[in-house]
Amino acid sequence: MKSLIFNIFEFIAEEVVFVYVMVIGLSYLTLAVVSFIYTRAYIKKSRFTNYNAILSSPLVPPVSLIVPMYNEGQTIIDSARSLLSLQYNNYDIIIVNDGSKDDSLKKLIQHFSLQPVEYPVSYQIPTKVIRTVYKSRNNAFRKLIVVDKANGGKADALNAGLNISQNKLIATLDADSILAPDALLKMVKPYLQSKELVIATGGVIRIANSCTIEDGNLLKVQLPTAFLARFQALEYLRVFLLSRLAWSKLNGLLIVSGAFGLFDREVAVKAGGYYTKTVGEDMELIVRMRRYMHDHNLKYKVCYIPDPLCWTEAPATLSILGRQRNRWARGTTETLYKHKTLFLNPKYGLMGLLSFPYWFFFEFLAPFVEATGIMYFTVSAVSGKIEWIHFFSLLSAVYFFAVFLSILALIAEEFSYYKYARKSDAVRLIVTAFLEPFMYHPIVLFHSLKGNIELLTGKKSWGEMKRRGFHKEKEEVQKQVKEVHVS
Amino acid sequence: MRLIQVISHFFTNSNYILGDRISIWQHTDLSTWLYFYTAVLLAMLGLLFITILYARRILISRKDKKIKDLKFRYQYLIYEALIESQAGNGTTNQLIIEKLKKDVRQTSLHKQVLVDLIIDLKKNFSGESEKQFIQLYHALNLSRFSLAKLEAKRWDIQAKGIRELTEMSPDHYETQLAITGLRSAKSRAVAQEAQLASVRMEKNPLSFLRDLQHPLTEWQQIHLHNSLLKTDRKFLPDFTQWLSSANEGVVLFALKMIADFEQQKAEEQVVQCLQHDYISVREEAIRTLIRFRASHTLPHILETCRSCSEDIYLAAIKAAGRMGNTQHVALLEPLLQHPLGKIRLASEHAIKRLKHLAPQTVKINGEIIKNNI
Repeated sequence: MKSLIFNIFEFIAEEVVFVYVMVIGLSYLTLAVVSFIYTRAYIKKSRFTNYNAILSSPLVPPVSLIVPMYNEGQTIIDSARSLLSLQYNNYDIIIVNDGSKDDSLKKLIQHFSLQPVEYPVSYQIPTKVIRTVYKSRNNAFRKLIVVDKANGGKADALNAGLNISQNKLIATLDADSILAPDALLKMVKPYLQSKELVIATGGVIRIANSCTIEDGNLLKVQLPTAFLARFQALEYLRVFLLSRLAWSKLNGLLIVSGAFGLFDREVAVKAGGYYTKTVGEDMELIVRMRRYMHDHNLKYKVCYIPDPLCWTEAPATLSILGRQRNRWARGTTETLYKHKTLFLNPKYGLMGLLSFPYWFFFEFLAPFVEATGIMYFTVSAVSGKIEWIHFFSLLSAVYFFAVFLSILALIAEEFSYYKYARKSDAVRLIVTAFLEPFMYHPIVLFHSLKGNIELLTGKKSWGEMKRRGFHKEKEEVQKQVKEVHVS
Repeated sequence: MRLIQVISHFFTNSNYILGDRISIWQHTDLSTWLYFYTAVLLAMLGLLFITILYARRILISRKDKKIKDLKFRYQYLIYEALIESQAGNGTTNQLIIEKLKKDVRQTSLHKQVLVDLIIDLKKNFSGESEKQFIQLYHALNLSRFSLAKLEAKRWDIQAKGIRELTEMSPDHYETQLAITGLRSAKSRAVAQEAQLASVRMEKNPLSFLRDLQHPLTEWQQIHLHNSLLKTDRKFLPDFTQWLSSANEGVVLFALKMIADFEQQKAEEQVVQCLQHDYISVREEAIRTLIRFRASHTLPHILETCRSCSEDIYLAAIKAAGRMGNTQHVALLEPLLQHPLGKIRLASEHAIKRLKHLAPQTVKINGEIIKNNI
């Protein structure tokens, strides 16, 4: 019996893992090539796009920009001010204060001369109590609506924003993220161009660590100086430049980043809004919206813009990074489990037959397969079952594949948006690509596994993302400058 | 070391005997070499891409510098020519033109830099100076260069050519003929550029709408509208001619233009659109009537839309709020008891607008109300 178990384990560890690795490698490469081709085509088309025509046009669809806020006192004023000057003709901003314990709301009220208003709300999606809706006395801030509600979590705050909004389109944005001034102009383009209904659009999220930010506006892009943030910058390049556009072209995209996305309000509401009992509410909503469209036999698209439109702060410490990856892993698992009936279900078209199985096999299972493979081959090499030369050959192949993908991402970045223009940035990113498989990936792998194990064992809380804030870096730089002058 | 001994002992003394189970990957050298060569191949490809990355940066940097230098040189020459011609020194102007002619014969890059520069400068000037830029463009035969682009295989080059010609020689017969031919180009981007160019060039700028085969997207509508805004209102067409089009996008566009350019005499045809087959057209017709502030049509709108879909009815209620007066409150009050929450809410908003309620310091009732949609 023992030998049978070992035989099965060995078969899985060697043959199945080998096939798995080959398939995942080929799929990554295919997605990378397709994404690269379409990104280049998009950039070419972009050069001919006259965004000024949309900027001032009264014909653009109205958008509500929903910003859930929890203890964002450090950055909310600058964020709100920069959002009020976005380049778009017809939008409003709904900041939802989700029971903050700090002075976020007070700061908003004082700075924007807010006053409570009578605002009939239809609770189309159930949420926690909405206490007060504020609007500004000052006409210059007429686009701003602030909603004060009882704490219910990010998903609940977004649902409150959905209830308050009366516009056709809604955009969701994290309170500490920075939008490019023309983000709405670009995100709205698929809605305006497509013959089918576009239910959601996502864009590229970039890492804002070490960038020069003033009054909530991104002034200068810089590669993060800290290694941890730089690893994440490289990771984001891989994810956003090498796969999402390909999925979008197949109409198989299952996720629009929670940091920034644009949605059809009516479909989001009819699908039930954000699910509050998951930590992966962004992916879960997209899957549910797609399901809704399939169930009602409606044609639709989920699009993706390979434009860097949103800049966000990446975790600066290992513990915060760990919590974030833990949460992401659990969110993926929760969503996949909740919608398990989609798996290989032809009723749901490409989503059921390709996207969903892909996520199951190559996103959910990947950490387990990887951990199994590492353990098995290491133990086999140490015990002499396999030769060291074999072990190191395999390790080298896997390592160089990972590095190769990262280099592909750098090439994609080079031929597309070219944000890290300095030669030294290119060198740093290349070095990062070589170091990442050793120094960063094991951390991510560990926390992904941990997240799934904790989910299985029933642990719920996901901790707080402690943000340094973009002010903190500015203050530190100013302090250093002062010290230099004094000395 | 102890751990390795324990693991080795476990494997050697268990029922599972090393070497018993033959794996096609394990006990041949094939797999080892396969992995090794894969690693080498990937490493070399990685190095190749790194080289490409650096080479590209160097090339771009050189090209940018060259363009910058050319721009500086041409800008200086063009300003000199302008100043000289304004001072009446025609001969000097001709010398500069000869200098530029000699330069642009060199490469396409020289020509392109000059075209882009002249177009940029032309946009910043008006009157006589603007005309001089156009004359310079033709004197340097750059119109030939732009026209040649229309024959290119790449759509982006064709589109660029259309834009250059629209900017610099919209009145030339050859340009108009070439661009009109591209209105039905295979490439959607080229077709759209050609359609937008037609708005600027032709006396009957929207004639292509009559025969449009594919849907007129909102994107195109916005760009057409933007082009029409630059047209003298005297020359704007009567948009009602497209209200009977079978193309939904064309009808929507016509309604939007009727509203934006205030073609009030089209009110009757707009009211007829309230009964259109397309829901979107009915909604747009309501929006157009709101823009006209045609409050006398409100009872008709509310009556016609009562049996329509929820969305149309909501649009009608919003219309009542936007263009009605206190007399129309009575029409809306019964809707406060409507079974649908959305209708009740829209009516409440509309009544508030009509009654001009000022913001009050009243807190919302905090109970969670679960509405059936």
